Amino acid sequence: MPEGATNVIMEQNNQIQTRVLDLLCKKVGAARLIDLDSSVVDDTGLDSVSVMDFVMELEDEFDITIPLDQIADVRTVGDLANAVQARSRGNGVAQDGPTGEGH
Amino acid sequence: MGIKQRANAIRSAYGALQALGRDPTSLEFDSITSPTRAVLDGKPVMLFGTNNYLGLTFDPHCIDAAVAAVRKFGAGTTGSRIANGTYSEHRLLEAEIAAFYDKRATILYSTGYLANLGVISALAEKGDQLLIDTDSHASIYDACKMSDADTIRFRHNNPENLAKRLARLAGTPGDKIIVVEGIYSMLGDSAPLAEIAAVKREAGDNVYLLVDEAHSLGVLGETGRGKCQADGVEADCDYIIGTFSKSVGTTGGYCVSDVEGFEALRSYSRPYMFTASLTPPTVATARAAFRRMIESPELRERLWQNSNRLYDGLAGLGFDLGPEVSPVVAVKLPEPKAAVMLWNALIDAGVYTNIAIPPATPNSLSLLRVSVSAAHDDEQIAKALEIFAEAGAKLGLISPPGDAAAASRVA
Ligand SMILES: Cc1ncc(COP(=O)(O)O)c(C=O)c1O
Repeated sequence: MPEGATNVIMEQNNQIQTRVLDLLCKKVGAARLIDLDSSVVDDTGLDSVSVMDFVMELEDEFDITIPLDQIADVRTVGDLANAVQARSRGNGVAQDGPTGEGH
Repeated sequence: MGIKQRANAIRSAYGALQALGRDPTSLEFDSITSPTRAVLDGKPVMLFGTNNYLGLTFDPHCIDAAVAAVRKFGAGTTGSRIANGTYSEHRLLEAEIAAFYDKRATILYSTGYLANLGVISALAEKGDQLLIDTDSHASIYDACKMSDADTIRFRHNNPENLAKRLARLAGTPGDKIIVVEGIYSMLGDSAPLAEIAAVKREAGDNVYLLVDEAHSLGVLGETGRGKCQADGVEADCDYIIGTFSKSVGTTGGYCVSDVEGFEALRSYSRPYMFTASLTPPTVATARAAFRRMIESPELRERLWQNSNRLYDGLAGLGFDLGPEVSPVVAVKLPEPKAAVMLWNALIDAGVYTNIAIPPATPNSLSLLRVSVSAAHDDEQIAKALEIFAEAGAKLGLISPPGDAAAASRVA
């Protein structure tokens, strides 16, 4: 892959990570400090249903599909951003096939 | 998490609530004397927490049929339908249910839970997609886990959101199966099936609709077939799941369908193949109950009168309720502790309801799930409203008794 394309992808990963973090912070409130290494369940105070609901929000925000079984493998906020990234289409980001996973 | 840690985590999560009174998971009925009366831990209570919508659990026809069947065929089948457990009565019940729905075929399962597990996991294979409402029953979630298909949730009762999710899948291979319920078990709200069926039709040929009518069988529709019938979209409902554990008054589950080749499920749906079939008295009870349901539409009428009365009464008292009148009346409470305290206070005063707290509820709601039966009489409903008024006011959940009494009289 030419270097320019790699840079575009990295730039987009950063944007996705930032947006996922922003949305999650909004959802759990300002009282908790959350970064990409935070555990989606243990560090956010969200129960399993709320995590599924958050993933549904991400699907609508990014206009993508993230099947439930993919969430099972997500531990950190960074993993979640990767899952979103793997499913995002267009803008030079390679689109994974239906079984593609970002981790 | 290890076994011991998990046990501790559960204990500490629920221990504080159990300390407020009874433990909902270890409550015991000493005796049940009618569809609406029981003795609970030594205390007589009125039952407002069953799913006994038509009150058929003590119907003399059903009981006589069960007794005759147990004498004629024995107490159990001691095997699965596939191995050694298909009796002529299973076939008769399947034919009768198919005729009731005017559909081609019925497959019986041993419970409604297993019907969802068995049908959904068998229909949706790897490469297919299941689109389920967020408020789906646990059996639907578990079925999705068991299936190798992708599971995608759409917003509760939101056909537009479903359409958006289907649009994202446009052009992908695989069948798409939409899964919804007729009446949702927790809040008692019903699915907008006409709109959902329209979304399904728009989305193309390989899109199917499965409707779980667990709480709507015998409750909705001109002849009690459920929400699909009430909304006039039965032709669009490819698979209808039902249970005997609510309106039918016994246990068991089924799926009816017109789809070509549906009965192939008998040969690969594991929850059909690998568990014992329904017992003879259960099958006989279900057959009698379907007959009663068909022959006695007044039961459904009575159920709705009672539902309206209870819903309006509780609303009049100032309780925050689910969005629509239904035989499931959900009383929303500010937090789990309030739900537990009200639930205990109601039992103390002789009214048994169900408690539901997160994560078993949508949107982290704390609820008392109050359910109505055709077998409740006016006096029981009036008495229950009185008890709700008193307990609710004492706990500060509604305004004081003076206003509350006035409100319940209006109802
Ligand atoms: C929507 C729904 N589906 C399925 C079931 C399971 O039915 P059963 O009690 O027959 O296993 C229930 C009830 O528990 C339910 O509420």
